[in-house]
Amino acid sequence: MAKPDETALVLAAFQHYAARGSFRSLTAEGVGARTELRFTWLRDVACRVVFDATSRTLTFVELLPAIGRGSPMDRALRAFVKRHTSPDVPVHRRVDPRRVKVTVVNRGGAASIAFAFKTREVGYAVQKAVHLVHDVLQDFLNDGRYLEYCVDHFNLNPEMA
Amino acid sequence: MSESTKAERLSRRRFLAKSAIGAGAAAALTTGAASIAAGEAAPADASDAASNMLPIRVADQFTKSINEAPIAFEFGEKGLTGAEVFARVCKREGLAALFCCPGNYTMINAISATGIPAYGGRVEDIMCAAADGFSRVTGEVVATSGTEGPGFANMIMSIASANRAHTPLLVLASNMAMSNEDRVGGIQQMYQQATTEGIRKYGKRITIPNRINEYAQTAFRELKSGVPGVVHLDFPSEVHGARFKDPSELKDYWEVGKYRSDCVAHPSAKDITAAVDLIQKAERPMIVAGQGVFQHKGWEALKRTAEKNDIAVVESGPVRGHFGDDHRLSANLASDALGSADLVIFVGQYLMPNVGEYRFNPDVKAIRVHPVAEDLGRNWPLDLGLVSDEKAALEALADALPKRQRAAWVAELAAARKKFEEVNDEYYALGLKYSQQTGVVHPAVIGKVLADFLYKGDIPKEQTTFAQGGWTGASWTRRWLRAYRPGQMNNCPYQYYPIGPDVGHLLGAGAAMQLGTGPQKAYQGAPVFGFTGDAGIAYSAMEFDTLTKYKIPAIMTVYNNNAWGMITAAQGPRSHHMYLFQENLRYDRVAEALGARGEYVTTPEQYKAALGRAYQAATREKASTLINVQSSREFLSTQAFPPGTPRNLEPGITAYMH
Repeated sequence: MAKPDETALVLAAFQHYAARGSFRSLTAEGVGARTELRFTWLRDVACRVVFDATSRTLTFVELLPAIGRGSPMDRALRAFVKRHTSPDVPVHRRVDPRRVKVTVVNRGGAASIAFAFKTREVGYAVQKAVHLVHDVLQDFLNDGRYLEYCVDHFNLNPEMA
Repeated sequence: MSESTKAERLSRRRFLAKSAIGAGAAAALTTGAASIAAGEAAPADASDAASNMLPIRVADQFTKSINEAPIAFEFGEKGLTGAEVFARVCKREGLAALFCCPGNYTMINAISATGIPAYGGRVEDIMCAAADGFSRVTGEVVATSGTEGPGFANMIMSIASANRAHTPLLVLASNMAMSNEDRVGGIQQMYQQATTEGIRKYGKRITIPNRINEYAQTAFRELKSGVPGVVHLDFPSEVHGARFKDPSELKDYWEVGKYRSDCVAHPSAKDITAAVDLIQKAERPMIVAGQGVFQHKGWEALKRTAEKNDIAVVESGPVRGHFGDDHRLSANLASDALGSADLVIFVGQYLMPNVGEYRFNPDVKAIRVHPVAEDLGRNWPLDLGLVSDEKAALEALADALPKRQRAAWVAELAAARKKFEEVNDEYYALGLKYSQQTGVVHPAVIGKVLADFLYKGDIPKEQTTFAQGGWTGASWTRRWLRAYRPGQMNNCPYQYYPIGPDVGHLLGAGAAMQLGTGPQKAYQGAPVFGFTGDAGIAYSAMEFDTLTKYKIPAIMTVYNNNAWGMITAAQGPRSHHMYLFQENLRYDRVAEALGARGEYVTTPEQYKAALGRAYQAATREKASTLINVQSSREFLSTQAFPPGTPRNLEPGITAYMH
């Protein structure tokens, strides 16, 4: 499949979530094979997603800031993501690693999550990426240990914890 | 005395004189009050002091008063006052109870005289909360009352809370005399209606005497139709003191069926077909059963719908139990499964969450059933909206849906519930360890010990109605407290999150049990239990007097961590002092001083034993007990005692926002 079509499919998928009320203020800007999407999600979390059509990789860039590489939180995040590619979670919640490779990348203390997918898997990949990141924001961070982190970085009102 | 004396038959001076005579003749009543603290020695002069104290007792006049026969107000030569006309409508409409503090005298006297159960307490706001608490566990229309300016102003917090809970609450408050307006004469003047704007469904200052009956009818039309809510009426003395000899003097004096209808909206066949189609296409459908299911008595239809098609059910709203936590299709404890639902059916969800506030996935489809059309589509995009009474919609769905088994979905729900319980077990083990380390009780242990006592001991697990208040402690206890039948659990601070009125909610639940109202009938007379924090108890502890004098057996656990719950918000050394209380305060002795029992405990074993003693006293003597469980604010520390406070997830058992 030609690469521009995949970019269009990615954009359409994100617009689908905007239409459903999930993403707000969605914008997209493309340069060559690289398209950058910005939107706000949940408690006005500013999200930046880069789609690289050449490598067929969708990256939620610096999704979780201020996490030291190798820190307990960094390790817990990697374990959480890994679990979601394993039979430990139901198939409809799972990212099939044969179709999409999920990687947590920590650069400069900011964790990004990248989803690299195979040809013709764009629809599946975008949906799974959105769902897994949603699980990270809603489940992984919904832990008493990360309360202060969420107050500091994710607009959490401590009285609504 | 603040109202026109011409219209009043009651003189406060005369009443006080009579009360004094009554008190003098009153027999002492043994209250069974005793404060028990492990290892505590009595002061050396305690017996001398005790011998000089007069006993706490309930006046004979109190007992005589509540046993007086009701009066049937009839028109005639003497005529009826506006208050009596209003009370007649309340009686005819089946007003379930009145919770008040004196003030608005003619109105509360008339309502009580009709035989409507009336409870008089100590603080207007907490009695308003009691009314709210009563309605939340019965689904019935209830009234509260306070005096004009100060009493009414005191009620605002609980009016606002009831408004968010969509409680059918009738707020009544007298309001001086119109003849005195703008003259700064007398006391307590305040324009009330503007104050409740935004926290009520309907409000009216009644100024034309012969429209009192008309507005009473309007009030019940609002209270009993569509989406329930707060109705606030205030009456100047020219209205409640006016006299009417014949119904013809009143505007719109009509029979019930002429001024309101019990007719409710039913879903169209087309909408039901569309809903069935969406449900059949779904693999993992889930009903969010809000308070509308309870208030409109749809729990049997809910169960029939869910079971016919293997649809999961998760509860939301201020009251729980209309779909039991132990049902194989219950998702109340299945937090992990919420994100798996591919279709959510909101039924009776009166306060809609925003997208993302409920833990569903971004692709979940949504159906919403709501009694009126105006709210459909609010906050959450819908695939289908149905205007219908909740019970009617559920009955239609139960009839229309084919039988279907969803084994994988049911198994996922079971696995998620199991995981939730396993996490609870981990928390309990941590809590025990922390309790042993510190010598005080961790809130996880409070939750577990309390739950074991209520659901795994000698008490039938369906019996106890619970008032779940508190703040940071509640984040723990909610995880263990269960609901197995309609009206069993009141999530007191639901949505508005007032801190403090929890003894009021406990009183309301206790009154419902005492009267056997609605779904509480099967457990009439059983003790009620509650939970609050040391911040909360300060607001409502005085109602232990009310619990005791009305012989409502209630047991309140106070999680005493020596601080406001939001001590975590203290950002620097100069701010901490504002969040701290004196340490190890004896709230149990406050209860004791009010004629109730008190217990002070510092270990899990002591707490368990105290629960047993409190229950015995409640069942045998109708005595109330405050159990002061000593804890520590240090448990809130994520570093010293991880996880600090568990986070909530909505909807389900840990929810309080929607």
